[in-house]
Amino acid sequence: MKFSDFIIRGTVIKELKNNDKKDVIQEMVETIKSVYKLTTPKTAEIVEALMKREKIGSTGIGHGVAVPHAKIPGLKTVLGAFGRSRDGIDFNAIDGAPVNLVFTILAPPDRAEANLQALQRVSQSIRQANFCKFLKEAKDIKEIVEIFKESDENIK
Amino acid sequence: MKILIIGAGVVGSNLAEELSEEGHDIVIIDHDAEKIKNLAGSLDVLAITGSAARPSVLKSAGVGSMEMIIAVTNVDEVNIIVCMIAHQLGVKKCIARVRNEEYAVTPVVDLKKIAHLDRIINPEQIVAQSLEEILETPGATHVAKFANGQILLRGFDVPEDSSIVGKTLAELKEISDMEAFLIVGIARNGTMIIPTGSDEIRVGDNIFVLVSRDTLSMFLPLIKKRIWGVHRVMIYGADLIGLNLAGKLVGKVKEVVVIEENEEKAKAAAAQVPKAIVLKGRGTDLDLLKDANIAETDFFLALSSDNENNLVASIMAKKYGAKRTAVLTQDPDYVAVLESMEMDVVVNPLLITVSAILEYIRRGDVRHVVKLEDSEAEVIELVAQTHSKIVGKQLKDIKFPAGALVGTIIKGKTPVIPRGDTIIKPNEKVILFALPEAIKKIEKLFAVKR
Repeated sequence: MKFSDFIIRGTVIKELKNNDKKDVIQEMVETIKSVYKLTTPKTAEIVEALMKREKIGSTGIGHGVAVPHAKIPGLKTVLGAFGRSRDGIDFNAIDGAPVNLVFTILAPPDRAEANLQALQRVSQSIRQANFCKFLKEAKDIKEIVEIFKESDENIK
Repeated sequence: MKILIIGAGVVGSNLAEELSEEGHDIVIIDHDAEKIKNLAGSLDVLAITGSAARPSVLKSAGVGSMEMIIAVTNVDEVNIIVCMIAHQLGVKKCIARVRNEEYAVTPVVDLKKIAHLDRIINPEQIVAQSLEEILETPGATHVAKFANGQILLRGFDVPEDSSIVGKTLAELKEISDMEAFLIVGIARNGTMIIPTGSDEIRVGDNIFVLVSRDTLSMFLPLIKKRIWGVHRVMIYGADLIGLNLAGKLVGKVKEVVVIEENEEKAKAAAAQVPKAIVLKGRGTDLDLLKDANIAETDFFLALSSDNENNLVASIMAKKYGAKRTAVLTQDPDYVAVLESMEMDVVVNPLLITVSAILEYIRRGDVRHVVKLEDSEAEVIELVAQTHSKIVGKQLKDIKFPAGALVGTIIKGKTPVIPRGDTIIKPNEKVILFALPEAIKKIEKLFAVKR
């Protein structure tokens, strides 16, 4: 699966408005909902599902990256958003460091393979040298999308 | 399988022992008559004294009837030449230990091709790789990999503040489905439990989990709230292993410091790994360690060629604040002693070479097995054969032995956590966790029907 299969230009947020974990998640969920014109489930329900996963274990996986994700009833395909925070968000990440890059993934309940592939896509690219650095330094949304595109080409 | 081993040093004799115990026919050649005499007396192998690089010696060992040759003498050139001759005399598979980096890594010489080698074993590279893996999963009690590294087995002690304490496996199911992990074993009070949905995780459990390599980072926070990442690494010794590891780490951690006593080696290290900080001096020099800010070091690795200096340096590093230490010893007899001295990681290149060769040989088989040291449980990787009982039926309709659990099925490139309605198809890789009493029954399920 490629980034372009679940993160599109419209769901890239150059600078997140919020810096509280739950507010950030809500901001990203609202973006996804408005871009894809989703009416159900309610924003609060989606945020709750994502926060439930965060309570069991933070998806702040270190090096300034967080990947909040959950299965959302009613979805047919994987939907994602990417957001940046210059100041950093306290995600209670495993290395204790603030999070600057957030990948939010909403997953259809019965597409286990696709869901895993989306998580794999994020995890594989953040292990690549400079991927995170370039994302942090990108000037605008166009550059961010370009970085995803290049990454899609590098990983088969 | 008939296997010819060249060289009866630590690596050769350990291989001979392991492989003959597994039922292979072993012939071993070494020019040292004393070593050969000892081996012949202790193992059920045919041991021959002679120079293996001479075709006449190889012929007298019956080289023409061998299916595999493993050349592990101390001399690269001997290993290479022996394999070339063996290939010409009809041996199908040739494995050589080659330590010289110029042979092993530069793209200029394609040694595999010109010498007809199936596998080049470079211990220094293997050691550097395994150290890199250990650095990547801090806090694991066991590490092993399956399906070409796609699936990892990790053991963890469950700490008091872990958020999965008190949760049943059923409660974790939604997360584990999506993130492709499965807790396959719980070691509790000396007993290994194969958990079902109603089993809960308790403080102090040693849990074993099969997890996709790509989602390990998402799984870790479920076990531990904080894992102090490795940001600053100090390596004592700019020999092959130290240099190799420094090269691997410079892009990944914030700072890599290399300490080397020999001026030439220090200069070479600075040139080869320009992003590392290279300090000239002894790893046992306390002032130097303090100057290099040992107290702020997450991992100190003593990898010089001097066993004793490595030991002293790592004891000092730990005492003066390094969070974790690794120590390299060339002497297999030191390993158990060092492990009992609270060294976090003890590395012996010879033993690592033995296990790398064994892993390579076994990969040809259907089975790849990892035994968990303290219990008798095994993690087994099998390929589902077309005419076996395991394929083509929903898992819930298969009579599965108690004491065994399907951990992961590799479908295409994606690892899948099995459910009741999952069907295993022919040629899919299956990774199982099994207690000894269940292993025979598992083998029957995977055996081809007659």
